[in-house]
Amino acid sequence: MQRFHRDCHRLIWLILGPLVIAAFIYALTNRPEMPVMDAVPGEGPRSPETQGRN
Amino acid sequence: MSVSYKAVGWNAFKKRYDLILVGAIVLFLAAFVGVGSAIFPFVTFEILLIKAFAAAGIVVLHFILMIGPMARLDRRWLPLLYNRRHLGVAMFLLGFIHALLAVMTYHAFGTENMILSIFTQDAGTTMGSFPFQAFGFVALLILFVMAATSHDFWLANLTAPVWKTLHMLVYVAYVALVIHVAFGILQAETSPVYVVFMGLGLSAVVGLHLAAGWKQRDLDQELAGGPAEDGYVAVCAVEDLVENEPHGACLGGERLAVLLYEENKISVVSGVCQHQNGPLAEGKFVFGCLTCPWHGYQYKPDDGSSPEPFTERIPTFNVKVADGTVWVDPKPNPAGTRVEPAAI
Repeated sequence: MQRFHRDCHRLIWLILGPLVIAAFIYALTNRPEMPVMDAVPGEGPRSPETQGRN
Repeated sequence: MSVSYKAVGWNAFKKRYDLILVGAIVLFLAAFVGVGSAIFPFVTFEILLIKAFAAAGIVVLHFILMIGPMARLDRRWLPLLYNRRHLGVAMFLLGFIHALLAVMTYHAFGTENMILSIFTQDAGTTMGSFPFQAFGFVALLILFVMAATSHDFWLANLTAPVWKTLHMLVYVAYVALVIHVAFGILQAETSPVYVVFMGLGLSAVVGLHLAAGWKQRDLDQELAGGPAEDGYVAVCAVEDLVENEPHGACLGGERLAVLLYEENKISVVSGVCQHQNGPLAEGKFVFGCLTCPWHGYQYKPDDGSSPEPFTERIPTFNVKVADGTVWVDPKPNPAGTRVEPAAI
């Protein structure tokens, strides 16, 4: 691999690695207490029996 | 390595590789749908399919991203690297089917354009309405470009450095997909299974890349000591060389492959394969040629050219041996230039 690509790889993972892990943790720690897929049209809050399982 | 255009340069290894790949994907999809419908009988078949194709795609993508650093850390993973581009195309197809099913299920029956609604229906600022689908769309576009150019035709026409840079977009696609998953399904999914597997996969991908990068950093250390009066630089001691085993060195920011062969000959060529910039110093010496560990491209050590009928060539370096040390002129010769091997 050329030096440029090796350096790019290192830089990308040094920056992207922590960032993507932080985004993942942020998304998980901020999950709604009653998760609903309100981002998907046509789906509203569901009953506890089916909560989050479709 | 192919001298003329072929859609796929099939060989026994590639056929076996693809057979295992397709078999594993079909098994995964069947198991996902089978187990899913048994545990959650109220979930519709199309929803299970959407999730199954997404899960399969994410698993394959993690596998693709882990192969590279694993092969750099341990040579035993190299056979998986050989046909990685077929994994990439398979991953794109899985993602495409997932996207197609999701759009047909969630966006096909509104008044708005199906594609447009991906960007408008879930736009918002709260966690529950984070536009996760837009991230999935962007990732799929990147994966399409990569799958479409995953061929030596494009590699040859774009040149290895440009092609390599283009394919580093896979990391952008990966980040977009992690966000797509974390802010999409994981916001709605109460089961810890997805969270655990996604977390493990993410940690493995990031950890392996950092570990491999750290190992490679050691190999990039410049040689100690400046050039001699004639401009030559000492790259290693003769006793460091093992016959027919390439030895790596870093000179002027680029890597070299130093080779002792035919008992007493020493040649030095660029350590960067012309095909995909693979690490030639980590390859083997096979049938009188330095062989790239990634895809088997070969170069003769004295002139850096591939054996006929192949036309690939790499730069060579003038070399001499004095006082038990291998000295190299840091100025590379044009690719394919024959250099008399140094004798010991």
